[in-house]
Amino acid sequence: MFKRTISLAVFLAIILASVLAACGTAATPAPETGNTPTATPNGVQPTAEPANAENIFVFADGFGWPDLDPRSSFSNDLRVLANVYEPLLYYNPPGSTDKFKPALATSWESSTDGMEWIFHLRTGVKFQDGAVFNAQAVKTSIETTKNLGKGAAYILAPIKDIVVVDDNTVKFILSYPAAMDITLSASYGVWMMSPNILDKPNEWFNQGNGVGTGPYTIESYEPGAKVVLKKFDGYWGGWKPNNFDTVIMQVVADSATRQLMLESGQADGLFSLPRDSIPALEVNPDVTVYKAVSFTNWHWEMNTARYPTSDKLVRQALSWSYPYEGCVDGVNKGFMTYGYGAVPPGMIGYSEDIPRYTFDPQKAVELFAQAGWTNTNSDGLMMKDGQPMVLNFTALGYPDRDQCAVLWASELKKIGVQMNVNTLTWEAAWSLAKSDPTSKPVQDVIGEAWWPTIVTGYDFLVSIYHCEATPFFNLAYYCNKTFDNLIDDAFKMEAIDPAKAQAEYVEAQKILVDDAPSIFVGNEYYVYATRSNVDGEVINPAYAYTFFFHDLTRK
Amino acid sequence: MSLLVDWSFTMNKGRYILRRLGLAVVVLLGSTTITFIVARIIPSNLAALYAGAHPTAEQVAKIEVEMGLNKPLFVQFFLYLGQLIHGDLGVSFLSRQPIINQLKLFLPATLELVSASTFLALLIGVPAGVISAAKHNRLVDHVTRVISIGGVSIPSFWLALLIQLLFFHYLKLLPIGGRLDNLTALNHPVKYITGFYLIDTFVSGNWLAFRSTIIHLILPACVLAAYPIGLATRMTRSVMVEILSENHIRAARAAGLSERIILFQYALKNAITPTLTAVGLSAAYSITGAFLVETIFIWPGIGKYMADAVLSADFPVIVAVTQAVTICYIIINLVVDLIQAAIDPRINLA
Repeated sequence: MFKRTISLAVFLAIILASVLAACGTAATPAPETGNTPTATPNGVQPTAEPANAENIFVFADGFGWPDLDPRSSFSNDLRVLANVYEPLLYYNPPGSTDKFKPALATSWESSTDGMEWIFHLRTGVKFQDGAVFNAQAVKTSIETTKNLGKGAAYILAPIKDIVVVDDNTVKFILSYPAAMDITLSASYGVWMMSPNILDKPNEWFNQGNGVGTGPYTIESYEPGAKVVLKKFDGYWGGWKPNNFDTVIMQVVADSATRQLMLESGQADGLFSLPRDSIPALEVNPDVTVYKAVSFTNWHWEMNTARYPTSDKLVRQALSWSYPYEGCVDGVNKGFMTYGYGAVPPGMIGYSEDIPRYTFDPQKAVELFAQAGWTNTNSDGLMMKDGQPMVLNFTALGYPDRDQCAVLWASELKKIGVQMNVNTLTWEAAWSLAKSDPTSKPVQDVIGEAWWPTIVTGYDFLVSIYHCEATPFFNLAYYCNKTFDNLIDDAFKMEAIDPAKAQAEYVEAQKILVDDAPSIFVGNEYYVYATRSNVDGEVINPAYAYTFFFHDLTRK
Repeated sequence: MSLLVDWSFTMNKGRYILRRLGLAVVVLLGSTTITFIVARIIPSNLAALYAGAHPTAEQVAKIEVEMGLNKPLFVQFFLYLGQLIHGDLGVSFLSRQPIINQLKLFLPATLELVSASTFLALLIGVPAGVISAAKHNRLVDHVTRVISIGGVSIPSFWLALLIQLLFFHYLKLLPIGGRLDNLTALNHPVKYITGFYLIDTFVSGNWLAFRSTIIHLILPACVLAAYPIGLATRMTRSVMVEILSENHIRAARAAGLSERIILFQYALKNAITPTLTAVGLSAAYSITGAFLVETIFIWPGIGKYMADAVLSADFPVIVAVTQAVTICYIIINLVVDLIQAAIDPRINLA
């Protein structure tokens, strides 16, 4: 009895202590954004000055950041690294007066044959650890990334040598002509890094360490949960009084929670909103929604290696059967533009002179008939040689794409084609698609999308349609040597004669449209949102879903 | 004489624990083998997952060699077992982080949440079941039964969204999610000791963070507790109704014992064991089953970590989390069995 009383007393004392602590006065009226403070074994030191809600920007990210190593980063980590590191120049958003914005280089020129490029560097710039930024730092940064061979290092393939002309001038000597201004403004693989970190192992970076010239340093990092960026006082670009001193990037996987956070002020910015939420946010005076055409477009690749889609007439018929208006203006509710060829607007290679298929079921039926597909069976399906027209479409679980696929399937059914829509994760779908394209389980059509590593039409055309010995991203298994030669030459011409390059890209895409290895559906919009008391340029499609926090201020 | 009896009981308990732990090793080995094989035969491309968004074929091939993914499956398995013996759970292909480091963060976060919800389940569910049984077929009983059925039936993600909307958005009483508020985290960061914030902040005297932790724990713990509260209420009520109709209870009432002593000392002691088993199993299931609650409340737990790994076929994480959860299941079952043996002298551990 006595022991029981003591146990009960201890238990109640613990409860009472907890309640008293919980009811204590609050320190600050803190924004109650969900958080996991650094609980790594290293711990985190308290900031010297207490952080203040006004100069903190909270970014609700839907995804984590797999690799914070600037030498090998090639994913969502761009959103973090773009604020810690800088390239020599940036690619400006479409519609800008200038194509590029100087960053760590102030000007540049190339030889007439496109084989040599000289960059004049910004003076007085220091890395976050105090090391001086100069031509030698450019040389070692680029060479380190190229030699490591990971991530986007392949874009540096044209570089044969890097010469330090003087402290503020660096020369790139190429093994073949290439537009180095485009390459060195890429979103991966071209970050300038302090010479003191070039030999650090990948693990060091992924513990939340890094040294660039950018406006922010990584204060703390909880993989898959949170990154805290702190302002670098010595940043060459300077600071305005109402810039953000601290940025908290937080993984909030649920879109409804992200939206609630933004509406309540718990988050200051986000991207990746469900389309249905956007109208409500657009009328909310506390929220500003930004929309712009992105560099992401849809390529629904048809299996050219296996019948019936190996027949060009069938592919053209399918291209005429696609409900472009229903998908672009219906499902995507004005968040998509029509596609002309394989390249999105805003970069070399795009042209509205490239012919475009439209929704014309009658024409589709005529082409199917030319290909020998007629005489519907008892199920209403077209037949040829006793075989019904049944196709398998691999969807990848993206709601808007999947809805368009279902819409297309219903339109095809009306003209006698059955298309089964099967959903797989990208990893599983890609693994299957890279196997023997003539084997039964491989898809007839796959609903892929693409965005560029370097901002040129070549990135789309070479990655998706260039001949491949074994399938990789060319999941239409398309191979046309004339097409290959045109685009390979066009890439070199970008550095020498951009007008000729453009003409070659257009000619190549006309071949592509005629061969119809893909349905060229359209170009996605990016949709971002911030609190209305945040000012600054938000969207640059060249840097997908990335906020440059130094450009933002609190009104 | 009593010392000899106690020593024998302690020996039995000790042997029982050792036997269970020995069996646990066999269970772990079996689950690891099955999970490893299943995870590896799922169509995926781990090297490409590691390589990034648009890798080249050469990069993917190089990573396959570096990661040993080109070796035969049984060779990969034995290499993995060798790593495991040295305490190396491998590296996540998705996040590139050592899995052991991530488990140290995510597992305590989930265990803290599950512990809080289990505590609520026993605190609320058991007394509710007792009262419901005592007031059998009266209004209190009917209301309690409806609420308990609701608890076990309502989908957790729906309840989470509803509660978040109500208490955060409309009433502005509780936070939207996370383990701590941002300003407190920045100005008074939690020092890692165990990964359980309630313990770490209490031990280090970080009272602001302690307070914030409790406030942030309330909503997700309540949502996660809905099912075990319903379960505990229904199980307790069901067994109590039977026990309260037995002769020894009638005799106790006839002897003039108070209703409180009859219910909570005599009857409940007989009824608690099946409830403990059920709640224990529910708690073990919640370790990964809480991933929807974790997602909605931005709780960085093992459930969400595992869900992301499954969607990406990140097999080192899948295998490691399976092992960790298996160990948790084994420990929870063992603890439940020991508590039952302590409460009910009829249970023989031998």
